[in-house]
Amino acid sequence: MVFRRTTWLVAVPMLLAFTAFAYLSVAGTTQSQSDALAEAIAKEPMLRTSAEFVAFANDGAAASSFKRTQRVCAISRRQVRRLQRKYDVDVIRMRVGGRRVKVYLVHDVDSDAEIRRTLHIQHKRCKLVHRGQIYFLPFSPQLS
Amino acid sequence: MYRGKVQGGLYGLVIALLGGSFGLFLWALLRAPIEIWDLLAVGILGLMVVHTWYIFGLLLFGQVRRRTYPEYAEERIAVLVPCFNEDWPLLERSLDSVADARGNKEIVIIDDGSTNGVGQSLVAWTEQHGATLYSLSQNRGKREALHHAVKRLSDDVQFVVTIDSDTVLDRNALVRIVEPLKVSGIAASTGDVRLLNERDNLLTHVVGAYYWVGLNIYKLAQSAIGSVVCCSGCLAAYRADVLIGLIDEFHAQRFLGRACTHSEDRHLTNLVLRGGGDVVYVPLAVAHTETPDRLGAFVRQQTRWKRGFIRESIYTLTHAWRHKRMLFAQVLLWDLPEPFLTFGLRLAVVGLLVTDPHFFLIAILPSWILVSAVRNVFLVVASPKRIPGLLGYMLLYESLLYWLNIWALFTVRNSGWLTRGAEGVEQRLQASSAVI
Repeated sequence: MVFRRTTWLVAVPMLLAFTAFAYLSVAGTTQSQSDALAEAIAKEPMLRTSAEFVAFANDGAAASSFKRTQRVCAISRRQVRRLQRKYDVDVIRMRVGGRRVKVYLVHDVDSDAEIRRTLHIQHKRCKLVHRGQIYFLPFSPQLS
Repeated sequence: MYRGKVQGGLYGLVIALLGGSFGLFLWALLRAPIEIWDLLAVGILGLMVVHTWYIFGLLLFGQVRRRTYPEYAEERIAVLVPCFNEDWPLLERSLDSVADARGNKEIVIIDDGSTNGVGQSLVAWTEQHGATLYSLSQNRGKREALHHAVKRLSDDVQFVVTIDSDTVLDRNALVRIVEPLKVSGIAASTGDVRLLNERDNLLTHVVGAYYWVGLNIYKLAQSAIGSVVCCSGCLAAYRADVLIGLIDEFHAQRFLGRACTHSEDRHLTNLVLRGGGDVVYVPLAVAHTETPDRLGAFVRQQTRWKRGFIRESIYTLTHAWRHKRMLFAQVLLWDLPEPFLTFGLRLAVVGLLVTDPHFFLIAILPSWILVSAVRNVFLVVASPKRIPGLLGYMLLYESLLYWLNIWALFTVRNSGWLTRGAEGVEQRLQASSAVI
């Protein structure tokens, strides 16, 4: 079997494109969750020294290894207590713009509307955080 | 003894790898730091990219530096045809193709204890064609049959070709497959196997794509460095001196304390590679065979092959670092670990299919197809009529065949052929091993 030149003319660019795609996926994925949140919080217009922050996933698939969409909102201490009564909440501390802030990570959120009702922020715009997402399946059938 | 212990240790490591991948899946369920999960996916992707470059590179290397072989000059070839309970019309078609094939040949048929009455037809055929027939009293499997025949080879035989009892040879298959063996350093070769029943149904169409990729991408790539990992039982050739030198060891193979029966072609190739001999693929040596046309039979065949794949990949790791370092790296970093490393991720995908089928359909499935298309782009361009078959194989593999790897890992010592009438072979072999 000798592959024609046209086969190589297709194969080589596809290999290069695949490599570039993989590189971008890796570069995106290796951004840590803290970095992504900090970046979003820094851009949050309501940033105040006293604010607490909450990050929650509202795509119904927070546990999925492939989706990383979260929202970040500035909230008050009272709202934090409401969250802690209803949800499983983790806290991470980070430094944003020279200030130390706390971010409450809320797990198992059934819907965006539900957590907004809990926090009484139905109409508030929350910052979307997109982290590197692996939109690929790193599998290949065994053919050898 | 030493090699047996190393194999046992490597087998344990593969189990640990699978356990680690599964553990990660469970940890993710318990909300592990998500970065760890990412790291695994990214690591596998990285390995896949490197492996794709490796395969493409080997194909390019093989194409740029094409090997030419001396012409066949009537050297003596022994063609070994082991058979067991094969239907006579199929067997006759196969034997006739051998008789019609070019080459100075001696046809040796080994009837491995057939009980379907094919014996008389075999006697008549061998008398008519001046062939040699060994009739074994009991069915003991192909490995035993080959051992029996090789121990009795004539002194003037220079090359030995082995075929299956349903293989139909092209007229030039024998001379083409032995020509590489005239080159110093090449000890074994295998040919292009095409399916007689590729168009019979959806399954055979899918298997046709699987064969095409296996031969024209992977075997061709491995051939560039003289490291084809399996000389297919359908059509394989060996230098007689090499084969005679290793046939006893081949016959006595044990894995984790049990005698081995199936995947003998893969082990024979492994022994040749261990001796430092090159093993090449010869696309011009063409044979035809039939693939199972029912899913149950195909799954049984694949289970057997996957057990052989695990056992022989482990065996390769015990020797390839000496003479075949690229093969060693290939088996160590991709071939053997990949199915087990991805276990946790695959479980996650099954979960995703249930919890978020929409996302699976719009994001995962297209990327999955894209990755397969890139890795098998040579089929896409050179044989586009097989693209549906490739997609079908991909779906069949992910939904069913992949999981056989896990089953095969835990039943790797099982020597059963899972085919009709062969159940007793294992028992007889284990019994005879115990006596020895």
